[in-house]
Amino acid sequence: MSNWNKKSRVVVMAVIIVLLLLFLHFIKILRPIENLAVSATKSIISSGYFVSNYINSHYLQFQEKTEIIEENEKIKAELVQLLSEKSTWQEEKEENTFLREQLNFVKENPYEYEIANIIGRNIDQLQNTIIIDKGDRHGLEIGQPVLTNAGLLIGKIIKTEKNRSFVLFINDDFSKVAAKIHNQDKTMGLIEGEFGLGMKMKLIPQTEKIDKGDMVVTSGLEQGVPKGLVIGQVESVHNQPEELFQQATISSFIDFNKITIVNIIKNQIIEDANQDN
Amino acid sequence: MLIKIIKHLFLFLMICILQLAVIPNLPDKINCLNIIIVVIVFILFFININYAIIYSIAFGLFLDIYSPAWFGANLLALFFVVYVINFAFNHILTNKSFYTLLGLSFVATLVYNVVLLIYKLLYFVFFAESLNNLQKISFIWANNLFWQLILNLCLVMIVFIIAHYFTRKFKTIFIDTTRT
Repeated sequence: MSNWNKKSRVVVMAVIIVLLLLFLHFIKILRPIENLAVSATKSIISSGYFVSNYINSHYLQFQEKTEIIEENEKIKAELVQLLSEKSTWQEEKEENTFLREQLNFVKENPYEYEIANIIGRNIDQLQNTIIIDKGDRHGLEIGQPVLTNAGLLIGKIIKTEKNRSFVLFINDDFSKVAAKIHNQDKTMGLIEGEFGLGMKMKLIPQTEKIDKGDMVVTSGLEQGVPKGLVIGQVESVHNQPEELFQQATISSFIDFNKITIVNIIKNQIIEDANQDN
Repeated sequence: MLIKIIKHLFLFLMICILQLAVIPNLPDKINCLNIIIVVIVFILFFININYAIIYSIAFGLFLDIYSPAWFGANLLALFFVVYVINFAFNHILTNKSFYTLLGLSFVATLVYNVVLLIYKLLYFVFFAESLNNLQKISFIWANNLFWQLILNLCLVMIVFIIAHYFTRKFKTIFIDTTRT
């Protein structure tokens, strides 16, 4: 009986401690301790992540024929670069046409980037998120786009803390990105994630003609997300006559498991045109 | 005493690094492994509930710091796991055998995933624009749970068999069928 009471006391005490911890977190008293814990463990976890990522990619290479992988990766890198160049070129062409029409030349707007290391991944599999080692202190804000070092969009920031942030991948089911397809019609739509397995572009009118292989980029209709960031390419088109809209499956050029460093577009540097004049 | 604390702290950090930084990078399906649940089950089974509670609170806090989910999701899930497996250990699977250890690991994995599914459903109800994807979420959850159960049980078996040769603490819990 006394043993049972002792065990009950332990459980009740633990419940009180858990509730107290939650309360202290929500009134932000625990914040300095949390920040201290992150600062103390960030570098260890980051190193662990980097090493395991490195081992994993080498293990995969060992499993398959190395030469084929190397060649494939080389071609993929070239393709990414070419697509990125193509996107830039098409954006510039559009911009040029627009500017010529307006007979007004404005300087290209550069972006301010922040480079961050990935220090972890969400383990509960509720969301496809990564944790990066930069936060509020570095000027990061919710909604800012996150890119690979090749300039491909991988997601957006969903939560920031003092010295870390959480990035939601574009293939997560809660991710939504305004996008357009580089085809004749310049089709606009909304890209939604498919539970970490892929992406679908929705809300595409039935009248638009989409082909397999068309490149998909951001449309620039979202605040903080500039247009022309490469997302992927059209893999297949699902066109049902009875549906109001058609859908396209989008394939990404990125292996989301192999990313270790990311770039975040913080803001657009707007130069004063009058100053130049 | 100090050495004991350092030993526990080291074990805690190692497990956290493995779970947060190493396991997510493992090949598909294998990354479903949840080493934290296995550790908590072992602690409850071989040490006592006090240590299991301390570890579950510490793991929960650490995971919540590194999680975008609502703060407390992992803390509450792991605490609930300890409570349920302790109850099961005291009232249902009372015999201290290898099969009980497997049973407790099974229950712990199931409970942890059910709590997280409830969390995800609540998140969906509050933040999602439509509930059309609930079926897909449930399917993915069931798939992950299936792999996590298999992998966690395999890990329990491997750790048990290895430890069986190094410590006497494990020797008594194999049911000896040769004696009558």
